[in-house]
Amino acid sequence: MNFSINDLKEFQIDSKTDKLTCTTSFVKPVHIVMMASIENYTDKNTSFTNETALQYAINMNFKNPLEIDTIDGLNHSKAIKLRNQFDDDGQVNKIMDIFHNNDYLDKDTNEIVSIILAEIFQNFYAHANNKQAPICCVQDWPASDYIEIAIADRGIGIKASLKDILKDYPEDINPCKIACVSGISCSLDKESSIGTKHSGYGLYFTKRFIEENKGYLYLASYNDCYEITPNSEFDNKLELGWKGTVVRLIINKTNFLDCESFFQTITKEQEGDDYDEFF
Amino acid sequence: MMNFFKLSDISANTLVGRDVGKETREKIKSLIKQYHNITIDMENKASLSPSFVDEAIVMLVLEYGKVNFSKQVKLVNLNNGTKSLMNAILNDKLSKKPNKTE
Repeated sequence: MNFSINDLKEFQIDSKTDKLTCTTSFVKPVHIVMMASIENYTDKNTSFTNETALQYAINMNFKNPLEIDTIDGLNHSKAIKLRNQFDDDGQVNKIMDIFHNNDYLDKDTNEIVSIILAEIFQNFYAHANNKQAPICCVQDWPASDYIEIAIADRGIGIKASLKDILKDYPEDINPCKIACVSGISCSLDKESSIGTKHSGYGLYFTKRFIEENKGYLYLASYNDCYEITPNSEFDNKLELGWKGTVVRLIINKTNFLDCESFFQTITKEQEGDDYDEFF
Repeated sequence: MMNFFKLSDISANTLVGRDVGKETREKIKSLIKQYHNITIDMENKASLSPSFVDEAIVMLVLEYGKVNFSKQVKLVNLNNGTKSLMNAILNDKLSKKPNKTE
């Protein structure tokens, strides 16, 4: 099973018209969430160059995503429309039920996934168009060691949201990469400008989880992208033209993490100080 | 017990947002003011986000100080993930505290 930032290039998006052409023959969740967003939130349709891919995408409900509250914890591999508002933690639990009911991962690893999903969801809601709920898709790859979770929105994007809170936003640095850096929130605290908008923790923990889990993380927003793989890190322009943000997590099913060790390790490595267990 | 509160009673809606975390912190502060010491049942919730935990709990520890917080607030039914997350954020915040604008 190969995952690559190039998976995102299997779309051709006309930035002026939003018309999307899917050129892949192997549709993945990241494709589904983007196609479902176009289908449901624009007056455009997706064109397919491959009939098999079209049929597969239809089976994955890209035209009519399932409402999050109707899913039963078993029906993964479908486009899932989140609620218009993030009004309780039930949505994360609904997605995590897919993991629990299918015996994916172990208790500790699921607890970490639950925490990072909560923050990712919260970030999506903080910057999304209120009338266009993010779309999610979870898929197991039985013949491989991986599970993919993809989420997309048609929001303001990572760069605009960072510009909104960072007074001196460094134009030459990839915003998707900055969003994964620890300490963003502390810099903002110094500026007294963070308000209640951004923590910076969520994507840092997400990035570190993926690194420890030997999985994959892809962030794409407008024309910027950031990729973490078991062996590499990459940030660049993608020229994707996606008017919003796409987060793609590919979790290694065979690599379990201990919660306590995970959080302790990443805290220690940031500061180099002794770790104090207060709670 | 009058001073025993479920997290879901303190924060009825979302448990994941920074704004809601801030509101929750204010509610906890008013409960402390009213009862002097309280127990919060965290209900083994799994999907508390870092930003909620930071705003609702960790910033309260920083405001009250570790000793005073321990005397006045007891957290029970914390799952392993949330407990580890809270410790990580508290350590992170404490290590950066001298540089912060209080």
